[in-house]
Amino acid sequence: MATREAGKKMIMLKSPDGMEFEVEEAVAMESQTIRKMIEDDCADTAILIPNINSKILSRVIEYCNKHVPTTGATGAAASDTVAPAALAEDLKIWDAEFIKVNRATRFDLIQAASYLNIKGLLDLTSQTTIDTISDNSLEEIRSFLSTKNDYLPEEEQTIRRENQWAFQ
Amino acid sequence: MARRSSRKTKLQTVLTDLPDALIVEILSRLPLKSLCCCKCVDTHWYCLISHPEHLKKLPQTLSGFFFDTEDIGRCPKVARHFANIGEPPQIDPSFPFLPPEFELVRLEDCCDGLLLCCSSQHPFRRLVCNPATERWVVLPALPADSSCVAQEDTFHLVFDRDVSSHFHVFQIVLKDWRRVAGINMYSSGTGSWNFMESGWDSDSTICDRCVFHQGMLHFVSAQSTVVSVDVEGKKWRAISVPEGVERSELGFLARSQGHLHYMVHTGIRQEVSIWCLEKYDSDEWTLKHRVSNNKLLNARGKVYYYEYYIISCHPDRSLICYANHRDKTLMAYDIDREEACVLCTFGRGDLISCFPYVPLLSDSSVPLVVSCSSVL
Repeated sequence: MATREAGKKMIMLKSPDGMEFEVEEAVAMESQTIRKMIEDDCADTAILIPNINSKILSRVIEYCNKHVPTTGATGAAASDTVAPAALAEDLKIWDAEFIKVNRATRFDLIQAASYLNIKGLLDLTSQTTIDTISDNSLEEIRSFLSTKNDYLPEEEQTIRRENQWAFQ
Repeated sequence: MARRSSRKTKLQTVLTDLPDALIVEILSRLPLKSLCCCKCVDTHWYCLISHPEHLKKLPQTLSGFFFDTEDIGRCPKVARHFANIGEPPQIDPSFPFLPPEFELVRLEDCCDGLLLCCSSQHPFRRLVCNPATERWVVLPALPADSSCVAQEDTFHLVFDRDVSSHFHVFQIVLKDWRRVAGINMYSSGTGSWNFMESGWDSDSTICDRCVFHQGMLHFVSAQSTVVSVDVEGKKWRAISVPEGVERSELGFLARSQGHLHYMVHTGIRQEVSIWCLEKYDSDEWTLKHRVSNNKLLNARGKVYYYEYYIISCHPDRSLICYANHRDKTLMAYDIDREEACVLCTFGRGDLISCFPYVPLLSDSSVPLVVSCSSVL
């Protein structure tokens, strides 16, 4: 969680379960939804973030803190002395650690990223799903999606024939 | 967070707990092949992916062909058709959404979902339209001082939805002996035509057919090269055709599975060879496949190369599309399975042009309009 620093404008974010998070405006503006609220002057004191509980909101703020460009939110990683390539590599490693969460948390993060409109976080949280679907057989995808094949045999035959090339 | 628990009996969180719009957002990041795989999962997923609103956000592939046929016993002689090959949308090939001035429009080119058409009443009036959204725009006429000899029918549409929402129209300008003097380039960004002098070898003569790939428009030249130019007319490039291709044989270019392909008749025109430029910046072509004329037409006995016409490659699959003049059919040959099949018949008359079509379902950022008043 961010602490107050001299000269930086702070914004209060409130989760529906009553927790309050004070964050730098620049960090909060990683979310296009919040950016729009601030730009439209709808955010004078505190912003209530509906549907996102404090546990998920704190993770989202952690992500935005890390990804906010330039000014040192989290120390060395954002320092000017680090080369851009090294910075990108550092972010990649950090992202990989960040996303090591259970499936329920990941889907909560997907919903939060979508509501708050944070493209990078949505890309990151969707990637595991994309990889799982891309790399596995139809049966494995069904199992991943916890769904059962409800096609009639002749329906399935037709649809499989039409999409045969996708299984080659 | 609110969950739709009715669909699931177990406690584990699954993807389908997410709202449909968000699932589609995730699916839009999938390659086309995996998306087709997902359609086979269950009926819910099939409906989700096939929903017209969702389709707008998902990657598209070849959905059909526009083609013109000519039949002297018919009035009018030339008729346009659209053959759908399974995927929506179905398109009315008469383009009823165009203004009366463009009633009998001639289709000149098709590129990544957009069409370039020429008015049959006013041969210098051209428009670009998207038949899937019924939006269009009339192009300004070429400046009167374009003094060079313009080759007829050499307008090309240049568009790539993944690169830019702007399109370009190129007109090849020729000098003596059909050599390329330069290109008149129209940009929808600037709304104006610009002449760029050719940066290719001054002897270059090129074929009509071209392919836009990696931001460059590619042509086969009669000098055994593949020449290309970017949309600003700044980069001009020439690479050799694959080694061993007879100088007398002109090939066909296609873009397939993210690579440039070169197809040409070989073996005394008894077969077709397909090469792929796997590394775009190199000039090393890899031979991908060879197939005999007989196999392409599923025919016994002698098959001549002029009995079929190569149209293109499938943009996402290992398929060659061609017209079979014997049976008056459009066909596809699957390179991996080494099988040919009929896609549709083109019916009466002779095929005079054919364009593969990948629909562009969402074009709000492309500078086209729906109403006539703002343009005319």
